[in-house]
Amino acid sequence: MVRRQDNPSGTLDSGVSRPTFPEGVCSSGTDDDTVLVRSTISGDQRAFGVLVGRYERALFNLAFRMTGNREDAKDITQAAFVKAFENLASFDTGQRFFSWLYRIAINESLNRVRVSGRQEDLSAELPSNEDDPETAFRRNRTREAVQRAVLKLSPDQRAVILLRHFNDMSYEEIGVVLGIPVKTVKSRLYSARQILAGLLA
Amino acid sequence: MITQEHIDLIQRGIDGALAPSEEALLKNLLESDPEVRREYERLTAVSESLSLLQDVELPAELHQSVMAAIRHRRLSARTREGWFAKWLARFAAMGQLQHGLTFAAGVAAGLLIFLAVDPTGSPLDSSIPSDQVSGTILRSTDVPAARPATAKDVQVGSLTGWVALESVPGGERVRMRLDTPGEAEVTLRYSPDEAILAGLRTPTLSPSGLSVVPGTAIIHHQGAGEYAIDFAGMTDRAFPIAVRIVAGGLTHEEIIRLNPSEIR
Repeated sequence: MVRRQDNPSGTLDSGVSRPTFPEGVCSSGTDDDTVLVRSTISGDQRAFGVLVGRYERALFNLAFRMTGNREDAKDITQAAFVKAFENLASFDTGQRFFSWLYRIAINESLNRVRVSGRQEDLSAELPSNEDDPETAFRRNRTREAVQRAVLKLSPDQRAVILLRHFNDMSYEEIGVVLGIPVKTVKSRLYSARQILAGLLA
Repeated sequence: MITQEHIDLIQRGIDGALAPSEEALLKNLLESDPEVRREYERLTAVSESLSLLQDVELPAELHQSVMAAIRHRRLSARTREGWFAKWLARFAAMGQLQHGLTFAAGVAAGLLIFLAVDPTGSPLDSSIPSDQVSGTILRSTDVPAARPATAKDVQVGSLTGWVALESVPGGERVRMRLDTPGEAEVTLRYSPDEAILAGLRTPTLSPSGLSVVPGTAIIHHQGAGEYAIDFAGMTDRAFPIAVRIVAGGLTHEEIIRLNPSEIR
Protein backbone atom coordinates (compact mmCIF):
# COMPACT_ATOMS: atom_id res chain seq x y z
CA MET A 1 0.00 0.00 0.00
CA VAL A 2 1.29 3.41 -0.91
CA ARG A 3 1.97 5.56 2.09
CA ARG A 4 0.34 8.92 2.35
CA GLN A 5 2.38 12.08 2.05
CA ASP A 6 0.64 14.94 3.74
CA ASN A 7 3.58 17.26 3.97
CA PRO A 8 4.54 18.35 0.46
CA SER A 9 7.91 19.58 -0.59
CA GLY A 10 6.58 22.84 -1.95
CA THR A 11 5.33 24.14 -5.22
CA LEU A 12 6.86 23.49 -8.57
CA ASP A 13 9.13 26.25 -9.68
CA SER A 14 10.96 26.97 -12.85
CA GLY A 15 14.41 26.72 -11.38
CA VAL A 16 16.42 23.84 -10.09
CA SER A 17 16.16 23.23 -6.44
CA ARG A 18 16.81 20.31 -4.23
CA PRO A 19 13.53 18.53 -3.64
CA THR A 20 12.62 17.45 -0.16
CA PHE A 21 12.01 13.74 -0.27
CA PRO A 22 9.70 12.07 2.19
CA GLU A 23 11.05 9.26 4.23
CA GLY A 24 10.61 5.99 2.43
CA VAL A 25 10.96 7.47 -1.00
CA CYS A 26 14.67 8.04 -0.57
CA SER A 27 17.22 5.50 -1.57
CA SER A 28 19.98 4.49 0.75
CA GLY A 29 22.41 6.76 -0.98
CA THR A 30 24.59 3.85 -1.99
CA ASP A 31 22.99 2.96 -5.28
CA ASP A 32 24.79 3.07 -8.55
CA ASP A 33 23.40 6.45 -9.57
CA THR A 34 24.83 7.97 -6.43
CA VAL A 35 28.24 6.53 -7.18
CA LEU A 36 28.09 8.00 -10.66
CA VAL A 37 26.97 11.36 -9.32
CA ARG A 38 29.88 11.44 -6.91
CA SER A 39 32.30 10.45 -9.66
CA THR A 40 30.97 13.24 -11.83
CA ILE A 41 31.40 15.77 -9.06
CA SER A 42 34.96 14.52 -8.68
CA GLY A 43 35.63 15.40 -12.30
CA ASP A 44 34.86 12.17 -14.14
CA GLN A 45 32.65 13.35 -16.95
CA ARG A 46 32.43 9.81 -18.25
CA ALA A 47 30.33 8.99 -15.22
CA PHE A 48 27.79 11.63 -16.17
CA GLY A 49 27.79 10.18 -19.67
CA VAL A 50 26.66 6.91 -18.14
CA LEU A 51 23.83 8.69 -16.33
CA VAL A 52 22.81 10.38 -19.56
CA GLY A 53 22.79 7.03 -21.31
CA ARG A 54 20.74 5.54 -18.52
CA TYR A 55 18.01 8.18 -18.45
CA GLU A 56 17.97 9.84 -21.87
CA ARG A 57 15.28 7.50 -23.20
CA ALA A 58 13.00 8.04 -20.22
CA LEU A 59 13.49 11.80 -20.28
CA PHE A 60 13.04 12.11 -24.02
CA ASN A 61 9.85 10.06 -23.91
CA LEU A 62 8.54 12.05 -20.98
CA ALA A 63 9.28 15.31 -22.78
CA PHE A 64 7.74 14.02 -26.00
CA ARG A 65 4.55 12.97 -24.23
CA MET A 66 4.43 16.34 -22.51
CA THR A 67 4.94 18.39 -25.67
CA GLY A 68 3.93 16.11 -28.53
CA ASN A 69 6.89 17.42 -30.47
CA ARG A 70 10.24 15.73 -31.10
CA GLU A 71 12.28 18.89 -31.47
CA ASP A 72 10.92 20.30 -28.25
CA ALA A 73 11.50 16.95 -26.56
CA LYS A 74 15.11 16.95 -27.69
CA ASP A 75 15.66 20.50 -26.46
CA ILE A 76 14.02 19.72 -23.12
CA THR A 77 16.06 16.56 -22.65
CA GLN A 78 19.27 18.41 -23.36
CA ALA A 79 18.36 21.33 -21.13
CA ALA A 80 17.41 19.00 -18.29
CA PHE A 81 20.71 17.15 -18.38
CA VAL A 82 22.69 20.38 -18.60
CA LYS A 83 20.83 21.83 -15.62
CA ALA A 84 21.37 18.64 -13.69
CA PHE A 85 25.07 18.71 -14.49
CA GLU A 86 25.42 22.34 -13.50
CA ASN A 87 23.59 21.81 -10.24
CA LEU A 88 25.00 18.43 -9.36
CA ALA A 89 26.98 19.83 -6.46
CA SER A 90 23.71 20.87 -4.79
CA PHE A 91 22.12 17.45 -5.27
CA ASP A 92 21.71 15.56 -2.03
CA THR A 93 23.21 12.17 -2.77
CA GLY A 94 21.03 10.68 -0.07
CA GLN A 95 18.10 11.12 -2.44
CA ARG A 96 17.10 9.46 -5.66
CA PHE A 97 18.86 10.94 -8.62
CA PHE A 98 16.20 10.05 -11.15
CA SER A 99 13.44 11.76 -9.17
CA TRP A 100 15.54 14.90 -9.06
CA LEU A 101 16.26 14.60 -12.78
CA TYR A 102 12.60 14.03 -13.63
CA ARG A 103 11.65 17.09 -11.67
CA ILE A 104 14.02 19.18 -13.74
CA ALA A 105 12.69 17.64 -16.95
CA ILE A 106 9.08 18.20 -15.93
CA ASN A 107 9.82 21.82 -15.07
CA GLU A 108 11.48 22.30 -18.43
CA SER A 109 8.54 20.65 -20.17
CA LEU A 110 5.93 22.72 -18.34
CA ASN A 111 7.80 25.91 -19.14
CA ARG A 112 8.05 24.92 -22.78
CA VAL A 113 4.38 23.93 -23.06
CA ARG A 114 3.19 27.10 -21.42
CA VAL A 115 5.35 29.33 -23.57
CA SER A 116 5.14 27.73 -27.00
CA GLY A 117 2.02 25.60 -27.01
CA ARG A 118 3.55 23.91 -30.08
CA GLN A 119 2.46 20.33 -30.59
CA GLU A 120 1.59 17.92 -33.35
CA ASP A 121 4.32 15.52 -34.25
CA LEU A 122 2.59 12.38 -33.23
CA SER A 123 3.98 9.86 -35.67
CA ALA A 124 7.24 9.46 -33.82
CA GLU A 125 6.65 6.18 -32.10
CA LEU A 126 8.70 3.11 -32.77
CA PRO A 127 7.31 1.00 -35.59
CA SER A 128 4.64 -1.46 -34.62
CA ASN A 129 5.65 -5.09 -34.26
CA GLU A 130 2.44 -6.54 -35.62
CA ASP A 131 2.87 -8.77 -38.63
CA ASP A 132 -0.54 -8.01 -40.02
CA PRO A 133 -0.43 -4.59 -41.72
CA GLU A 134 -4.10 -3.95 -41.08
CA THR A 135 -3.73 -4.71 -37.39
CA ALA A 136 -0.63 -2.55 -37.25
CA PHE A 137 -2.48 0.30 -38.97
CA ARG A 138 -5.41 0.10 -36.56
CA ARG A 139 -3.10 -0.14 -33.59
CA ASN A 140 -1.18 2.92 -34.75
CA ARG A 141 -4.36 4.90 -35.23
CA THR A 142 -5.42 4.00 -31.72
CA ARG A 143 -2.04 5.04 -30.33
CA GLU A 144 -2.27 8.33 -32.12
CA ALA A 145 -5.72 8.90 -30.69
CA VAL A 146 -4.44 8.12 -27.20
CA GLN A 147 -1.52 10.50 -27.58
CA ARG A 148 -3.84 13.23 -28.86
CA ALA A 149 -6.08 12.67 -25.88
CA VAL A 150 -3.12 12.93 -23.51
CA LEU A 151 -2.16 16.22 -25.12
CA LYS A 152 -5.65 17.56 -24.45
CA LEU A 153 -5.09 17.28 -20.73
CA SER A 154 -3.85 20.32 -18.87
CA PRO A 155 -0.04 20.27 -18.48
CA ASP A 156 -0.39 19.54 -14.77
CA GLN A 157 -2.74 16.62 -15.36
CA ARG A 158 -0.55 15.37 -18.18
CA ALA A 159 2.51 15.34 -15.96
CA VAL A 160 0.74 13.24 -13.35
CA ILE A 161 -0.58 10.75 -15.91
CA LEU A 162 2.80 10.39 -17.58
CA LEU A 163 4.75 9.88 -14.38
CA ARG A 164 2.23 7.31 -13.21
CA HIS A 165 1.75 5.34 -16.41
CA PHE A 166 5.05 5.67 -18.25
CA ASN A 167 7.52 6.11 -15.46
CA ASP A 168 5.68 3.80 -13.08
CA MET A 169 6.04 6.16 -10.15
CA SER A 170 4.12 5.82 -6.92
CA TYR A 171 1.88 8.63 -5.69
CA GLU A 172 4.61 9.64 -3.26
CA GLU A 173 7.28 9.78 -5.94
CA ILE A 174 5.03 11.81 -8.22
CA GLY A 175 4.39 14.18 -5.33
CA VAL A 176 8.11 14.59 -4.80
CA VAL A 177 8.84 15.18 -8.47
CA LEU A 178 6.02 17.71 -8.91
CA GLY A 179 6.27 19.21 -5.45
CA ILE A 180 2.62 18.60 -4.62
CA PRO A 181 0.84 16.63 -1.87
CA VAL A 182 -0.20 13.05 -2.51
CA LYS A 183 -3.80 14.12 -2.15
CA THR A 184 -3.35 16.48 -5.08
CA VAL A 185 -1.58 13.76 -7.06
CA LYS A 186 -4.59 11.51 -6.63
CA SER A 187 -7.14 14.15 -7.49
CA ARG A 188 -5.23 15.22 -10.59
CA LEU A 189 -4.84 11.62 -11.61
CA TYR A 190 -8.55 10.99 -11.23
CA SER A 191 -9.50 14.13 -13.15
CA ALA A 192 -7.08 13.22 -15.92
CA ARG A 193 -8.50 9.70 -16.13
CA GLN A 194 -12.02 11.01 -16.28
CA ILE A 195 -11.14 13.31 -19.16
CA LEU A 196 -9.29 10.56 -20.99
CA ALA A 197 -12.19 8.17 -20.49
CA GLY A 198 -14.48 10.72 -22.11
CA LEU A 199 -12.11 11.41 -24.99
CA LEU A 200 -11.40 7.75 -25.70
CA ALA A 201 -14.95 6.46 -25.31
CA MET B 1 -23.81 6.02 -5.28
CA ILE B 2 -20.05 6.26 -5.66
CA THR B 3 -18.36 7.94 -2.74
CA GLN B 4 -14.93 9.53 -2.46
CA GLU B 5 -13.78 6.43 -0.61
CA HIS B 6 -14.94 4.28 -3.52
CA ILE B 7 -13.04 6.45 -5.97
CA ASP B 8 -9.90 6.24 -3.88
CA LEU B 9 -10.25 2.49 -3.64
CA ILE B 10 -10.85 2.10 -7.38
CA GLN B 11 -7.94 4.27 -8.32
CA ARG B 12 -5.51 2.63 -5.95
CA GLY B 13 -6.76 -0.75 -7.15
CA ILE B 14 -5.93 0.19 -10.73
CA ASP B 15 -2.54 1.48 -9.65
CA GLY B 16 -1.72 -1.62 -7.62
CA ALA B 17 -1.49 0.35 -4.41
CA LEU B 18 -3.92 -1.57 -2.23
CA ALA B 19 -3.22 -3.51 0.94
CA PRO B 20 -4.51 -7.13 0.86
CA SER B 21 -7.46 -6.24 3.09
CA GLU B 22 -8.40 -3.39 0.77
CA GLU B 23 -8.17 -5.68 -2.25
CA ALA B 24 -10.79 -7.91 -0.69
CA LEU B 25 -12.94 -4.89 0.01
CA LEU B 26 -12.68 -3.71 -3.59
CA LYS B 27 -13.49 -7.18 -4.86
CA ASN B 28 -16.65 -7.29 -2.80
CA LEU B 29 -17.65 -3.85 -3.99
CA LEU B 30 -17.12 -4.77 -7.62
CA GLU B 31 -19.31 -7.82 -7.18
CA SER B 32 -22.06 -6.06 -5.28
CA ASP B 33 -22.20 -2.55 -6.72
CA PRO B 34 -22.74 -2.17 -10.49
CA GLU B 35 -21.95 1.53 -10.38
CA VAL B 36 -18.58 0.92 -8.77
CA ARG B 37 -17.91 -1.85 -11.28
CA ARG B 38 -18.73 0.43 -14.24
CA GLU B 39 -16.44 3.13 -12.93
CA TYR B 40 -13.68 0.60 -12.33
CA GLU B 41 -14.02 -0.78 -15.86
CA ARG B 42 -14.10 2.73 -17.31
CA LEU B 43 -10.86 3.72 -15.62
CA THR B 44 -9.23 0.37 -16.32
CA ALA B 45 -9.96 0.91 -20.00
CA VAL B 46 -8.07 4.22 -19.81
CA SER B 47 -5.05 2.47 -18.33
CA GLU B 48 -5.19 -0.16 -21.05
CA SER B 49 -5.35 2.53 -23.73
CA LEU B 50 -2.37 4.31 -22.25
CA SER B 51 -0.43 1.05 -22.20
CA LEU B 52 -0.69 0.97 -26.00
CA LEU B 53 1.65 3.91 -26.26
CA GLN B 54 5.19 2.79 -26.94
CA ASP B 55 8.55 4.41 -26.57
CA VAL B 56 9.39 6.93 -29.22
CA GLU B 57 12.60 6.54 -31.13
CA LEU B 58 15.43 8.63 -29.77
CA PRO B 59 17.09 11.12 -32.11
CA ALA B 60 20.29 9.45 -33.25
CA GLU B 61 22.44 12.34 -32.10
CA LEU B 62 20.72 12.95 -28.78
CA HIS B 63 23.45 11.56 -26.57
CA GLN B 64 26.18 13.41 -28.44
CA SER B 65 24.31 16.69 -28.40
CA VAL B 66 23.63 16.41 -24.67
CA MET B 67 27.26 15.72 -23.90
CA ALA B 68 28.43 18.44 -26.27
CA ALA B 69 26.18 20.93 -24.48
CA ILE B 70 27.62 19.84 -21.15
CA ARG B 71 31.15 20.16 -22.43
CA HIS B 72 30.37 23.61 -23.71
CA ARG B 73 29.00 24.70 -20.33
CA ARG B 74 31.90 23.16 -18.51
CA LEU B 75 34.44 24.87 -20.71
CA SER B 76 32.64 28.17 -20.30
CA ALA B 77 32.67 27.79 -16.55
CA ARG B 78 36.32 26.87 -16.45
CA THR B 79 37.47 29.67 -18.63
CA ARG B 80 35.53 32.62 -17.37
CA GLU B 81 38.06 34.93 -18.87
CA GLY B 82 37.02 33.34 -22.12
CA TRP B 83 40.33 32.78 -23.72
CA PHE B 84 39.93 29.08 -24.35
CA ALA B 85 36.27 29.42 -25.31
CA LYS B 86 37.21 32.19 -27.68
CA TRP B 87 39.82 29.99 -29.26
CA LEU B 88 37.51 27.09 -29.56
CA ALA B 89 34.86 29.30 -31.11
CA ARG B 90 37.46 30.52 -33.57
CA PHE B 91 38.50 26.99 -34.27
CA ALA B 92 34.88 25.96 -34.72
CA ALA B 93 34.43 28.80 -37.15
CA MET B 94 37.27 27.30 -39.11
CA GLY B 95 35.15 24.20 -39.42
CA GLN B 96 37.68 22.10 -37.67
CA LEU B 97 36.33 21.70 -34.17
CA GLN B 98 34.48 18.51 -34.86
CA HIS B 99 37.54 17.02 -36.47
CA GLY B 100 39.59 18.11 -33.53
CA LEU B 101 37.23 16.66 -30.98
CA THR B 102 36.99 13.47 -32.94
CA PHE B 103 40.72 13.36 -32.90
CA ALA B 104 40.55 13.57 -29.15
CA ALA B 105 38.39 10.47 -29.26
CA GLY B 106 41.09 8.70 -31.10
CA VAL B 107 44.13 10.00 -29.43
CA ALA B 108 43.25 11.18 -25.98
CA ALA B 109 42.50 7.54 -25.50
CA GLY B 110 44.01 7.51 -22.35
CA LEU B 111 47.73 7.67 -22.09
CA LEU B 112 48.66 11.16 -20.97
CA ILE B 113 52.29 11.44 -20.07
CA PHE B 114 54.00 14.55 -19.07
CA LEU B 115 57.58 13.48 -19.24
CA ALA B 116 58.56 15.45 -16.26
CA VAL B 117 62.03 15.15 -15.02
CA ASP B 118 63.74 18.33 -13.94
CA PRO B 119 67.50 18.76 -13.62
CA THR B 120 67.34 17.84 -9.97
CA GLY B 121 65.18 14.89 -10.67
CA SER B 122 62.21 16.12 -8.65
CA PRO B 123 58.85 15.04 -10.02
CA LEU B 124 55.80 17.19 -10.40
CA ASP B 125 53.90 17.92 -7.24
CA SER B 126 50.96 15.53 -7.29
CA SER B 127 49.43 16.88 -4.11
CA ILE B 128 47.92 19.97 -5.68
CA PRO B 129 44.18 19.52 -5.37
CA SER B 130 43.11 22.06 -7.97
CA ASP B 131 42.55 21.42 -11.63
CA GLN B 132 46.15 22.01 -12.51
CA VAL B 133 49.50 20.43 -12.20
CA SER B 134 52.49 22.49 -11.32
CA GLY B 135 56.14 21.78 -11.43
CA THR B 136 59.36 23.63 -11.83
CA ILE B 137 61.31 22.80 -14.92
CA LEU B 138 59.87 19.97 -16.88
CA ARG B 139 62.57 18.51 -18.98
CA SER B 140 62.20 15.28 -20.77
CA THR B 141 65.19 13.12 -21.27
CA ASP B 142 63.19 11.00 -23.68
CA VAL B 143 62.11 13.65 -26.11
CA PRO B 144 64.62 14.30 -28.88
CA ALA B 145 65.75 17.89 -29.12
CA ALA B 146 65.65 18.21 -32.88
CA ARG B 147 62.97 20.56 -34.13
CA PRO B 148 60.48 18.72 -36.35
CA ALA B 149 59.90 20.24 -39.76
CA THR B 150 56.18 20.61 -39.03
CA ALA B 151 56.66 22.45 -35.74
CA LYS B 152 54.70 25.63 -35.14
CA ASP B 153 56.68 28.52 -33.68
CA VAL B 154 55.76 30.17 -30.42
CA GLN B 155 57.19 33.48 -29.27
CA VAL B 156 56.40 35.64 -26.26
CA GLY B 157 58.83 38.49 -25.75
CA SER B 158 62.21 36.86 -25.34
CA LEU B 159 60.68 33.41 -24.92
CA THR B 160 60.82 31.31 -28.04
CA GLY B 161 59.74 27.80 -28.70
CA TRP B 162 57.69 25.51 -30.81
CA VAL B 163 54.91 22.95 -30.65
CA ALA B 164 54.80 19.92 -32.88
CA LEU B 165 53.05 16.66 -33.41
CA GLU B 166 54.91 13.49 -34.14
CA SER B 167 54.13 9.83 -34.38
CA VAL B 168 55.46 7.45 -31.80
CA PRO B 169 54.94 3.68 -31.62
CA GLY B 170 51.27 3.08 -30.83
CA GLY B 171 50.25 6.69 -30.67
CA GLU B 172 50.76 10.38 -31.20
CA ARG B 173 52.98 12.75 -29.25
CA VAL B 174 52.54 16.46 -28.80
CA ARG B 175 55.96 18.04 -28.18
CA MET B 176 56.63 21.48 -26.85
CA ARG B 177 59.99 23.16 -26.58
CA LEU B 178 60.48 26.43 -24.73
CA ASP B 179 63.59 28.55 -24.27
CA THR B 180 63.54 31.57 -22.06
CA PRO B 181 65.96 33.40 -19.83
CA GLY B 182 63.27 33.85 -17.20
CA GLU B 183 60.12 32.20 -15.95
CA ALA B 184 56.96 31.47 -17.81
CA GLU B 185 53.61 29.99 -16.99
CA VAL B 186 52.32 27.70 -19.69
CA THR B 187 48.81 26.32 -19.92
CA LEU B 188 48.03 23.55 -22.33
CA ARG B 189 44.50 22.43 -22.99
CA TYR B 190 42.98 19.80 -25.19
CA SER B 191 39.63 18.00 -25.19
CA PRO B 192 39.67 14.46 -23.87
CA ASP B 193 35.90 14.30 -23.58
CA GLU B 194 35.18 12.41 -26.74
CA ALA B 195 37.69 9.79 -25.74
CA ILE B 196 36.14 9.48 -22.33
CA LEU B 197 32.69 9.15 -23.83
CA ALA B 198 33.95 6.51 -26.19
CA GLY B 199 34.90 4.48 -23.13
CA LEU B 200 38.57 4.46 -23.93
CA ARG B 201 41.28 3.88 -21.40
CA THR B 202 41.80 6.09 -18.44
CA PRO B 203 45.06 7.96 -18.84
CA THR B 204 48.10 6.28 -17.42
CA LEU B 205 50.47 8.89 -16.18
CA SER B 206 54.16 8.94 -15.85
CA PRO B 207 56.14 9.34 -13.71
CA SER B 208 54.26 7.22 -11.23
CA GLY B 209 52.10 9.24 -8.86
CA LEU B 210 51.77 12.17 -11.21
CA SER B 211 48.24 13.50 -11.27
CA VAL B 212 46.99 15.45 -14.23
CA VAL B 213 43.41 16.49 -14.82
CA PRO B 214 42.74 15.36 -18.36
CA GLY B 215 42.58 18.34 -20.62
CA THR B 216 44.51 20.85 -18.59
CA ALA B 217 48.04 21.20 -17.38
CA ILE B 218 49.72 24.31 -16.11
CA ILE B 219 53.47 24.34 -16.23
CA HIS B 220 55.73 26.73 -14.37
CA HIS B 221 58.58 26.89 -16.78
CA GLN B 222 62.13 28.15 -16.29
CA GLY B 223 65.11 28.15 -18.56
CA ALA B 224 64.86 25.67 -21.36
CA GLY B 225 62.83 22.55 -21.44
CA GLU B 226 60.77 20.19 -23.44
CA TYR B 227 57.42 18.72 -22.63
CA ALA B 228 55.50 15.93 -24.20
CA ILE B 229 51.98 14.61 -24.09
CA ASP B 230 51.73 11.09 -25.39
CA PHE B 231 48.38 9.81 -26.57
CA ALA B 232 47.66 6.18 -27.24
CA GLY B 233 46.08 5.60 -30.63
CA MET B 234 46.55 6.91 -34.12
CA THR B 235 44.39 9.39 -35.95
CA ASP B 236 44.11 11.26 -39.21
CA ARG B 237 42.16 14.12 -37.72
CA ALA B 238 43.42 17.60 -37.02
CA PHE B 239 43.78 18.30 -33.34
CA PRO B 240 43.60 21.64 -31.55
CA ILE B 241 45.86 22.34 -28.62
CA ALA B 242 45.21 25.60 -26.84
CA VAL B 243 48.42 27.15 -25.63
CA ARG B 244 48.67 30.10 -23.30
CA ILE B 245 52.02 31.42 -22.26
CA VAL B 246 52.56 34.21 -19.78
CA ALA B 247 56.15 35.43 -19.65
CA GLY B 248 57.76 38.75 -18.84
CA GLY B 249 54.42 40.44 -18.35
CA LEU B 250 53.27 39.39 -21.83
CA THR B 251 50.61 36.89 -22.69
CA HIS B 252 50.55 34.77 -25.78
CA GLU B 253 47.38 32.85 -26.57
CA GLU B 254 46.88 30.62 -29.52
CA ILE B 255 45.17 27.54 -30.72
CA ILE B 256 47.62 25.46 -32.59
CA ARG B 257 46.23 23.01 -35.08
CA LEU B 258 48.24 19.87 -35.17
CA ASN B 259 47.56 17.91 -38.27
CA PRO B 260 48.63 14.25 -38.35
CA SER B 261 48.42 14.18 -42.13
CA GLU B 262 51.40 16.51 -42.23
CA ILE B 263 53.64 14.00 -40.54
CA ARG B 264 52.61 10.79 -42.28
